[in-house]
Amino acid sequence: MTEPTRRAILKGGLGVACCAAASPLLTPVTLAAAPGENRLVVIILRGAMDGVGVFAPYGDREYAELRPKIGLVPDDTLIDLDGRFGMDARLDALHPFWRAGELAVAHAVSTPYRGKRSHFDGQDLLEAGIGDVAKIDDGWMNRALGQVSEARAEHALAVGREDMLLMRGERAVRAWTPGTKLSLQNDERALLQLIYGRDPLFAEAAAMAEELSALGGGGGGAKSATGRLAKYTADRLSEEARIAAFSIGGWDTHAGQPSALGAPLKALAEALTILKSTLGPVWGDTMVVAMTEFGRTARENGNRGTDHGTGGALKGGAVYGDWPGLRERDLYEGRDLTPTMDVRHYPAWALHALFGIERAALEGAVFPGLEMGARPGFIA
Amino acid sequence: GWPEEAEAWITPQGLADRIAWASVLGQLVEARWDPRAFVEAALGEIAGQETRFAATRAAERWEGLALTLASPEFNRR
Repeated sequence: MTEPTRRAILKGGLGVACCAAASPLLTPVTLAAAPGENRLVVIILRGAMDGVGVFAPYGDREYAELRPKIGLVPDDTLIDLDGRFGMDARLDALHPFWRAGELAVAHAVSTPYRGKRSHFDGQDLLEAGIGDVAKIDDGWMNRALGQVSEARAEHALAVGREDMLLMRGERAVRAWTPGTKLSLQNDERALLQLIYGRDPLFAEAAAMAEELSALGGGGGGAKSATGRLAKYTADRLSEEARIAAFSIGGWDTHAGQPSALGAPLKALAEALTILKSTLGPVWGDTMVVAMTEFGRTARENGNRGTDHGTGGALKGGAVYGDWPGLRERDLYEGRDLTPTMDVRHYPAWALHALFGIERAALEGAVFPGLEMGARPGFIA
Repeated sequence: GWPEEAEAWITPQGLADRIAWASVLGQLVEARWDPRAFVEAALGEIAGQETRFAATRAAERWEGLALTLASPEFNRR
């Protein structure tokens, strides 16, 4: 195999970075019959990851103008990838993936979702794999399972506390819930303060509770929770499971983005490294795709953050996608990265290569309305 | 509850516990409740602007539910 197929693919929603990780030794299959040897892990990044922020187009002159305070700096907060794009230095654990050709990023991708930039609707559409909120019913991974003859419940696994639409549907799947509990992070803590702001009794108590909790050194829960999810997922994929999905939250960085991204970036790096190390030889047959519901604004806001946007990013050993540029006239509605490809393109090709599901089924039943187009460069 | 009872438990620890409870409850919900519908169903007209905004703007469903459950409007009923 000469194709560098080990890539970390994180998929973005609107204009978000999407990246994928896969083994270069991945063998595409032509017959859709379970179980086969290939594995697919889908990670849903909840909160609209800032693709432009995490996989920064630092080579574009406009980047520094759009992100004067929160932009990444080469050799400091940014690791160069290809001379034009770089990644947040806190993903340094993924740099070996990149050097080995195992990490893929695709920019400027999105679901068909446009308009309100609502997290709930955006995530639902991302997981449902369709373009119409009114028609949301089941998840595309469940429909994909339905296309593979002899697929059984133990081949598919949803991991985590929340009920994943991605895996819901007619086909039975397995689910596992870890014992750890999530706590409000980042923007949601700010929202809680907003709610309490009008009520002096609550505001005072909440402020003191925050101080007490800061003293207690909380926040470690998120990291270990993701690590457990990844470890459990890899253990099951090493046995009977073939497709699995879990979530990483904390990406909704409206304020104080540089520090707010610390925890989710750490979780993402940890998830990918633990998946690879736990899978061992099975890593050679595995692709990981990480996706988020949409991107964020090209410009930073007044709170050193970014607001909901449109185009996102996906990655894989190279930076893919048709980069639309960051000039004023290049931006969607003058504010967001313009999406130039349907994000579903990537999981569709992954399903085709990994499990032999036919293009007609992918464009029809699994991702209605999608035109798959040309095979992406990172899929053999 | 009565205002006197509210003062009794709206201490830092009491509130922290209440927020933690709301977070857990938000995560335990099996059905995919929409936080936008939940804030209407749970509070209706009582919901303040900030609470409604927060519940609908949260990044994940369980957070939207938790914010409603942790709100003063919900807890003063």
